[in-house]
Amino acid sequence: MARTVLPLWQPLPATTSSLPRSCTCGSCRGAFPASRSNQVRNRLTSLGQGFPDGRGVALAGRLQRHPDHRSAFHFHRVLGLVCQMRGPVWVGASDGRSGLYLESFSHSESWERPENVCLTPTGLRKMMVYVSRWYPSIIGLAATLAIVVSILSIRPVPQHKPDRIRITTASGRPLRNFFDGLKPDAKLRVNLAHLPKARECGSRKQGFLAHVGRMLGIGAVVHAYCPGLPCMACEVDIDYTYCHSECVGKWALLGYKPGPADQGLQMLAYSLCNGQDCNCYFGTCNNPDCP
Amino acid sequence: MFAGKMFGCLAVAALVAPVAAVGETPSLVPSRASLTIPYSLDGKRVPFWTGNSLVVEQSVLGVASPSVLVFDSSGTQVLSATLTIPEAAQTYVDGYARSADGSIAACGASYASDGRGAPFIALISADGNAERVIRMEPYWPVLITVAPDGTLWTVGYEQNANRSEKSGVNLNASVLRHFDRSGKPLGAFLPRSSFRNPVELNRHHGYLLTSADRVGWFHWLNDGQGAYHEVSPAGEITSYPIPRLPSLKTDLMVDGVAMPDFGDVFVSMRDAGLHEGYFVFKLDRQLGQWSQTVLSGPRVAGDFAVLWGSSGSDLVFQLPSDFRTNTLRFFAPQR
Repeated sequence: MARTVLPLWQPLPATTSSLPRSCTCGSCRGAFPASRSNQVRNRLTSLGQGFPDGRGVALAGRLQRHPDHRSAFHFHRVLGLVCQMRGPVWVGASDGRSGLYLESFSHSESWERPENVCLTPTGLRKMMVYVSRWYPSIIGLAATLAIVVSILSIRPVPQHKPDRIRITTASGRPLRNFFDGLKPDAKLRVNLAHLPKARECGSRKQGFLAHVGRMLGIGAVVHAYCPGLPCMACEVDIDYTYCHSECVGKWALLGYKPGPADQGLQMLAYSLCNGQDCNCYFGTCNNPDCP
Repeated sequence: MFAGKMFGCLAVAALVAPVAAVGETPSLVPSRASLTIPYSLDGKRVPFWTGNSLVVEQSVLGVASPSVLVFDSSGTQVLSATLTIPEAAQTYVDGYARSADGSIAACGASYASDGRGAPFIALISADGNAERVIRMEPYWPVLITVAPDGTLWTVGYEQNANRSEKSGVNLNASVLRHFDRSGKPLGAFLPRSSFRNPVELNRHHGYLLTSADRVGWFHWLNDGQGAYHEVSPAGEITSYPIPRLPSLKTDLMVDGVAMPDFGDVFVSMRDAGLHEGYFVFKLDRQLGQWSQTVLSGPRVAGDFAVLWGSSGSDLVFQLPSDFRTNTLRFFAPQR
């Protein structure tokens, strides 16, 4: 179970040829061809990736250079999440503190959560040493400058959770709790009770069948059910980005990612429609009334 | 912002919508540099362009406390906030809107783990530290917008606790409603019974817009039916048929509706099953008709453009070639 902190300038998998020979992520196991590329253009790719978005998240999608190479963010290989996203990812100061965080994914026999690494001045210095050791000086200098620019451009935005919550009815009557006086919904409770079965279905790696319905802009509505299970049909309103229009009106195969018991079954979708990837749908099954 | 300038719009080379001769059809031309959001929208729910900013739901559907990021029109992240409903196990937000003061309005429904649930309208303060949650049952809002005066407009309909209309529901209750910020009703329009198909009231089939002097609701069905309703400051409502595609062979898909500051209404639509025939229409209120306009700009590989909304007098589009780079482009009518 290797967990590696990759340096910022580690080449990103801009093409499939830069991927490791094998990778297992949760339910997904895939063999990737070729060896890791060591070409300079890929190193430069990673630099170009990080600089314009110094304050944000590196764009996995931007790695797509050619239709044959596909995106680095492939759901059918990453049902356990972004196993291919092994390069450095800028995530900004997500917890409100100033600083840079580097999320790093390593390929291992099982999916593991990313590791957050705070780039302290010491860490930064070590990385600079690493740069100068492994890269031509000009690349190291460029990386240094880019990091400095990124640091200067960061304006941390703290994550706010409300500390004052006022709950009322539409008539203005204050409520102690949002759910005060409501009757439990039997159907929803039943649906929640089905979640373990859905996970069982998921553990058999059957996935879900989904009908990709109406698209809204670049999203979609998906109707899904778990084959072999009664009453696990569900309607999922999903309007996530980058769904292919070719998938509309087609049946697609959905992957899954079981969530916590009280949060429904989250699903990732990939398609068998038209022989193309249909990344990505992502939603929660919560409707017990579907056929 | 840095990236936005870097990837600014470079050339006006070809037409995106090859539907009419340019000389005959008014066109929308790039009006300012494009904007690259410094945050990957890949895999995220389709964001909301509202209140001159982009509201991105950071969390996935159905979490207990959804969180949002807000980017202003320069691409700077200005807010990261969490919608918190105590004891909620799942909270579904159907719509977000940002008001002029920077606060966020949201509508949706929240459920406890024992199956209790109710619809809500929530208001998150501009600093994210205060929140007001208004329980709205039996009215379940699915679309929300904030008028310049801070009042709230919603589209929704009454349902019982099982989210059904089969019993205990007033089918003559209005679907388009106006509230003050405490949830007090200020107005209601269009009875539920005037809509034959509840799909028209689905959030996936409607856009709710606001400008300085009017509120508009655009809704449609797959077969091309639908309407655009506008409420004037005097409380009068005017309805228009939606534009018709020259030939609708599969299903109508509306890729966005926007109402810029100068008051016109634009809609981006296409035939979902075709790879040609993408249209932008503008409403002529006097004639009660929609006229076609074309989008000029960098040539793209795709066959449509998503209309995210308006920013001042600009229309905000995203072209398929920009999906992966999170780039938005701004257009304005050619003068």
